[in-house]
Amino acid sequence: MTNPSQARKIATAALRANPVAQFTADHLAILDGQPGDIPFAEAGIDSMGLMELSIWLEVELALSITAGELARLHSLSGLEARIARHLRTGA
Amino acid sequence: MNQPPGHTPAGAYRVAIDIENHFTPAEVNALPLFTGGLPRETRRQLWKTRRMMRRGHPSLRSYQRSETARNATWYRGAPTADRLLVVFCGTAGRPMIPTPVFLQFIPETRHDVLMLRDPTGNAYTHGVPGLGNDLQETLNHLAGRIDFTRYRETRALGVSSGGAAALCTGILLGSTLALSFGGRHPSCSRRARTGNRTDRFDTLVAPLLAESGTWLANFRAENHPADEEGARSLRATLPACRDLVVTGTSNHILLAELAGQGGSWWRPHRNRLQTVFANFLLADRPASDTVAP
Repeated sequence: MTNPSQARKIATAALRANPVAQFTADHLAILDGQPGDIPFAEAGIDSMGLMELSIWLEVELALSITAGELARLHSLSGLEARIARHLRTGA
Repeated sequence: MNQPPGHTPAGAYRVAIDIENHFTPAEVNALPLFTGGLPRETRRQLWKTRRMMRRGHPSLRSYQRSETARNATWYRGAPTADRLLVVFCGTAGRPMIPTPVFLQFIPETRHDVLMLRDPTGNAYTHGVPGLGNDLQETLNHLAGRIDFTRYRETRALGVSSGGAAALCTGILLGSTLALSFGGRHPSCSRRARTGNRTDRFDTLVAPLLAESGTWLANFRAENHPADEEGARSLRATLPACRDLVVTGTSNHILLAELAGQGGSWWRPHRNRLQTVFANFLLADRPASDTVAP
């Protein structure tokens, strides 16, 4: 059984580490634990940002995922769900 | 961060990013993208780069690349180039668009381009890593490697966390013009202010401000609160810095937005970067204090 907060913690760490991302005060509050979502586009994560996200996930989590798949996840919540599945199943 | 293995998507992206951050237009154009050699995801990304390069200029700009230092790349244009453009990249290590795309927007007949990077997240408050410990020391190091006196004129441009460094460099070099895109003072940058003194630029330029004739401007997206805050932070220390608003966008990645990145062949986005550069960066005198919508 995966602790749901573990996936959230990893997803927020992935966004914080992204060199392209620009966060507003509201985004930072969400990254600090307040409820809410951050769409990738709203944080300025463009195609390069998605590539950087893919690299981070593979290096830190051994999760191999293309930039196109990440784009379809759309936001922090989508990423969290995908990471939770990876932690649960290894896929 | 460790390097991902080359056979995975992430490994392919690392290769693509390295190429997009460093290569000249001619080098990208010479890469074999139809067949093997490069990973599939790398080739897919570089096709987009090649398409976008044409937005800057229909034929290839002939720049020659020299890695002047670990975080400084010098792109030499034609022998007639009499203007040096010093570019401060953001934390992503590029001027908001891939370097070969950026170079396509800059006529090589007139320009050499010196591309600087600070991958530490310190927003150049300690200069360019490997080239001194502040901006002035970085410029001194560079002057030992590149003959600045051969240029009739020097201009500076910086994006995002490189914006303030570009404005200050313009003042330090006595440039005609220095531009920032989506810039912010280091005190306004979450990464730069962690464990750093953020007034290092202010101390360097303070004695020069009263006499400086450098034309300063920061461009920002109209609907981006963090960039609005960034513009305010720049004006607090550089009151002469113009606040130029690009209307109708909330995109921090302003050069990509202006260049029309993200469009498709059936629905191309407008390319406003040519006009903005022609009116400001490349103009002998900046055309106006407003950005055409």
